[in-house]
Amino acid sequence: MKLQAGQNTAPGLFADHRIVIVSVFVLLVLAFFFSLFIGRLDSGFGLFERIWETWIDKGASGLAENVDWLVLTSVRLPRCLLAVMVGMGLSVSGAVYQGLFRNPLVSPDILGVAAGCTFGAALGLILSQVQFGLVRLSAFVFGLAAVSLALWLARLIAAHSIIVLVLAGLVVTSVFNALLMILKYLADPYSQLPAIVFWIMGSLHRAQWKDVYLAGPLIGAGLVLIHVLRFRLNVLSLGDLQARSLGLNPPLWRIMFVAVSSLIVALSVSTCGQICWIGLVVPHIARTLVGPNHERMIPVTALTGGLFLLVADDLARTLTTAEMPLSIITALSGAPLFAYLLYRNRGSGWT
Amino acid sequence: MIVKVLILLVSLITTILIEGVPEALAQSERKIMDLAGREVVLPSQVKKIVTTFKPATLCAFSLGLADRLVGVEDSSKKEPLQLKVHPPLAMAAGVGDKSHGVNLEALVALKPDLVVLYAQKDGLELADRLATLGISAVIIFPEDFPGLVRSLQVLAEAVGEPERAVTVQKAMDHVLNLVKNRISSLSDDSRPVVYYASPQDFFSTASGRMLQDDMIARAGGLNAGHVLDGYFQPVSPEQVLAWNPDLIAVSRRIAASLSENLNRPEIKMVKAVATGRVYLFPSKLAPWDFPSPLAALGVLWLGVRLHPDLFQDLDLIKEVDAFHRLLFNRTFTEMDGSLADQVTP
Repeated sequence: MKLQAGQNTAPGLFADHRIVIVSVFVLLVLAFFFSLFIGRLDSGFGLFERIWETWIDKGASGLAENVDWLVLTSVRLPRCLLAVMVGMGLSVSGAVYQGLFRNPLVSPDILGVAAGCTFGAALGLILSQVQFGLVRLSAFVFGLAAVSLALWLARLIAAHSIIVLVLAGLVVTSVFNALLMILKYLADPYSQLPAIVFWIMGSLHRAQWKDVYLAGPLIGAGLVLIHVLRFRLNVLSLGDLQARSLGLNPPLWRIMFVAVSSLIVALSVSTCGQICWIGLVVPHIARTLVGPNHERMIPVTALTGGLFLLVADDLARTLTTAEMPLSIITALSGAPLFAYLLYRNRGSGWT
Repeated sequence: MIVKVLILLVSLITTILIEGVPEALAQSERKIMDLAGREVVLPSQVKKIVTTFKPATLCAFSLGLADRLVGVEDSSKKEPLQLKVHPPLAMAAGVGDKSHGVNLEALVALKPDLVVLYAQKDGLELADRLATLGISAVIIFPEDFPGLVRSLQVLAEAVGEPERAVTVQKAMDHVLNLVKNRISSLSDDSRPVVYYASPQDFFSTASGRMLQDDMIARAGGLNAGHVLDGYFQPVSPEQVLAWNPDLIAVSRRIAASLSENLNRPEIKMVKAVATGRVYLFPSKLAPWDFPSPLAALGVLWLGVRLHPDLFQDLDLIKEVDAFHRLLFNRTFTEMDGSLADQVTP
């Protein structure tokens, strides 16, 4: 299961990672552009023409009252931006966790972030007088509380063991899942319970600029930080002994990476609910494309993750009149893709 | 000691083998058919009733059977209307409910003459299980107007007083006809589009299969979510904008988060919001957008709000009072009821 030291230099499908980065980036930009022109109101470039005509006729003040313009700028644009950001954040956190724990099965919720967030959100949804905006705050706070609890518990048991950290994460996850069950049991079956269930399945349908302003800078800063320090992940994934011999303080760096990725996941989950599979499958796609060296795969993971969630969300909002939960799409497409990757990479380091 | 236990066990097993399930309802002759098509054998008199889901409790109340309820599903004990009509309900036993599971022991301990169950699979199973214990159970399905009427009839037949259902049905028909007669002249394209914000979320609406869809149609409107299938469905703000409803009727349960949704820039552009035609579904006493005979009043209220010009001659509160008096023996006003349907942005 472990990513072997030698793999860090193993090539992926493409020897030159720059080609991959540029092509995924171009794909992402194109997908983003087209995403702005599809939706329930109207798909196609007629929208663009109408906005153009309004602008020519009435100028900027006319745009403010134009429905097409409003849909483009205050519904679709923030939603697409958020999809890209959350997709990037979850994927990169997944890659970081997989590197830290030296295990390709790890997804970013292993330390209980997602369970904590979900509990917090359910709590917010149940307390009827709480404004909807506060649901996210509650999710975020409980998500970080869950990770802190796992870290504290692990520290209490043994200072530097990865296994203990994973087990502590398991404990915290179970406790928060049980608490969530209590909330579901107490929830009003006519209104609150379905709202919790839908929230757990993840959706971006409430996305507004406010969410972009709140989550964007922090997720962005986290991604930049991980990008800058990504070579340390290579060292950490060699194991503590070798990392130490290379002059690194493994526990310290581990805490740093865990803290940053947990923050990203907490922000993502509290903005749009739980989105399955992205954090697990996208790093594997990136690894298949450019190999396991974090210096190459982190940027590819980020771009692919953004693209993956953007396309998934396009499907979620356009396939049916009703809004489809994102996790259905990401899991239904991610799981077979993962199986294919396993098949394709048979005989390589993971099996 | 061991011998005694063995003897007891053997005698118990033989009793079960010989006698089979306990024989009950020996003297009763009455049999009715419930909404699941099951034949139900009933005792000659039904004095103690237990309900297991909220619409069932409301149906029992509408039929004037409140004083026979010895057990109800948990949340009904806190509903303002039920407590005003029959304050001792607060002391009735809770038996769980259809979503959280019904507590079989709590139910059996009440020794009810009749249990009112729901049509889901576990409700059917529970009904059969109760039958083996000698407790009569009927299944009702009051989720749409025809089902509501049938359910009321089955309940009234089950207590041996079918005339009770006739009274409620007449009251409902009277109210529904008030609307029907007035909107009959409307052409299809003069029917305004109504968006119903469901109890789950502002961006969640009733599908074409639901009671609320029927209510909107009967009130002379078009349900925006008519094309949807299934139960309440989440929709995107963009979809609401695409439907561009003339009126938005909001479930009271999401009143707390309403203003933040109405203040979204794209939602402000929706016709209903721009023209101030956003209303909370009445009433403060009990929801009228919920499966129960009160849904008839919901249709009337929605008709008045949709087509005020067609209802100029009608005094809404007077009709509501009369309806409540017929069903609950007290008027809406006497019970401090109010529509409270206005939304302050």
